[in-house]
Amino acid sequence: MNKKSQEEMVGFVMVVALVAVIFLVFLGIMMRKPGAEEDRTRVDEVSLFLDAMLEYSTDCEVAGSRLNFKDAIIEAKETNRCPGTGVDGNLKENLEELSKEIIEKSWNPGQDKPVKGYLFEVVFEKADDPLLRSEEAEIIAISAFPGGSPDEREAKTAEKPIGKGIKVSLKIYENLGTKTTA
Amino acid sequence: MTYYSADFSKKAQLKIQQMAFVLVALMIFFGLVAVIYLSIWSSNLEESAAQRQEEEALQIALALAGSPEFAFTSSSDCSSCVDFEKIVSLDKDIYKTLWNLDYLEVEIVYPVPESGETNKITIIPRPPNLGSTSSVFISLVRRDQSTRDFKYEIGKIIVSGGKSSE
Repeated sequence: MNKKSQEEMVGFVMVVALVAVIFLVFLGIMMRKPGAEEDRTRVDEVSLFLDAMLEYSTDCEVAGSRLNFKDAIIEAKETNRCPGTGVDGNLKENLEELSKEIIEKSWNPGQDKPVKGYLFEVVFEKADDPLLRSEEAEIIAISAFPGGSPDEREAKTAEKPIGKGIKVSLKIYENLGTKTTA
Repeated sequence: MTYYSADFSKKAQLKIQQMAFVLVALMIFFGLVAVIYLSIWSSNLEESAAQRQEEEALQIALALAGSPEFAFTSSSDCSSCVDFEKIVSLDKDIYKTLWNLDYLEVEIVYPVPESGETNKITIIPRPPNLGSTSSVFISLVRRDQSTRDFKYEIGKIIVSGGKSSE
């Protein structure tokens, strides 16, 4: 009689433990879903911004037409001069300044803002051999983190190849708990 | 007449009592599980409703950017470009009801307009007590007055809404 009741108690505890484990797994799945959706939305936003930025009309002109940001980057790789402006300046430096201004006006990063910082990179591959690319690439990188040191887990990235051996990428760092609203 | 021995009756009572205890314990366990689940679910409900509304607004904003009323069609290689002149000349009263939105505005983000110039075109005015809004970046295209060429700027479509989702 005593042994039988002990067996029943063990059985009951096992059932409770099993139900608890199933419940925890279910709870874990339920709580992970919204985060994934948020990530997808934010990535789309960064990608859309990068599209709009690459279309932006710069001051460089060829045959009466303004070069867009994308074509200006290609021009920077080939000649590093901004045609049509009459200024024999360093196009890469001009593009760095322009990128910084566009990103900061658009995302408005700051310590008490939803966006804590950004990293924008333009990579010019020098070699055609993919194995040599990372070693010989020239990188224009601008970044600012007014909201503190960046946390890679909270970065949303968009990357686009824009020509032979050129790619641009943008990382936006923000608190995932807060969302940018206008 | 049948008589049960006192010992046997006590054993049966114990069994019934044991079963009752197990049932009560199970009820308490499932009750606790339900209470924990409901408290977590209700705390997330408001947040997820707001998030869903934002996502919906974001999708609407993306759809608007590609709609014939907004899209810049003079260039075939720009799918997210919006025609500035079209937005300015839009009959706002008609489109207020068509899109079923609470709030719709197009903002010029970069270059920042000179002082005195407005950087916003309101299509559906912001009502009082408006909740969260969503925005998507777009390329705003307009004619450059000096060169008569198209000039691409960076803008945002800001929306809130869908009254149907309320």
